[in-house]
Amino acid sequence: MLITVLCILIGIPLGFIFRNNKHVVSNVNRLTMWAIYVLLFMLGVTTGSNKTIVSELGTIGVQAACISVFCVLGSACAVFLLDKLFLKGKLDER
Amino acid sequence: MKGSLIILSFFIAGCLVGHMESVPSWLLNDALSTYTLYALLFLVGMSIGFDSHCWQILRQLHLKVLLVPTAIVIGTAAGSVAAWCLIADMPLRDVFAVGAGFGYYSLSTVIITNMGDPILGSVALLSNIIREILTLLGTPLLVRFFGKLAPVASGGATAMDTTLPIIVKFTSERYGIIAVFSGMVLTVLVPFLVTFIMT
Repeated sequence: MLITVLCILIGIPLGFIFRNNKHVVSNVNRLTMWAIYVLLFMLGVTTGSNKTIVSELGTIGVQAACISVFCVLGSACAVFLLDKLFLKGKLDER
Repeated sequence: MKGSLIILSFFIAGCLVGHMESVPSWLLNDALSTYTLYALLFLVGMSIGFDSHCWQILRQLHLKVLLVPTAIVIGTAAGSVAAWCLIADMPLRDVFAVGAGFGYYSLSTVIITNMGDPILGSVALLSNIIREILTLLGTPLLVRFFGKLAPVASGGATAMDTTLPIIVKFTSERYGIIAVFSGMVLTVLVPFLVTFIMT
């Protein structure tokens, strides 16, 4: 948790310094995508090598998918209402 | 969409490799993904730094930003109840515990498994991975139908790290700041909420 936040905090001033350097900006964007690819691949390896998950994939999978779909929809509706009723687009103001 | 399909194919490739009889042990080592995550976060920090104006938004909003993670917690709980109605053969407590992972699969899985329910732990792992993947793949759709805060909500705790680049890409750096803030609040909440629900 602490290291996580620290990584972002170290990046911000460096990004600020190099914000007008097109070379750095495009490389950061490209490296970001590759870091995501590697992480998702590793996530797949963890899932695929877990014996319990693979053997009971049917039941566990349906339950898990059901919960995540409804949690995503529920939270998306909640922030949609939050924006419409309370924030009223204030997050977009400059 | 093309980007999402590439991401999905990397995940599927990982599943196939992980399912092989002899998985190279260095692949199962947590260190590699941990350091990749750190590198990713550093890069994300840099892209936040590229937008020099985005700090104004947090100053303008004050305490209102706290409403975002609050709404996400309430919305996730409501979604859990809906899922519970559909699943039927699962106690509401278990559904709440899985939902309260907010995409933070590693931690919620470990807590639930350690509290004596490895099967529910697997459900939590899979469900929270799916939540992360849904966010990675569905962000364009979520933005279109529920507004720019929707991927922040969908990402939950992962909005501060793994799903942050996608959120920034389809919304703006401003929402990236909100995502980091909301993700941090939810990340801190996960261990407390899951433990509280399970006891």
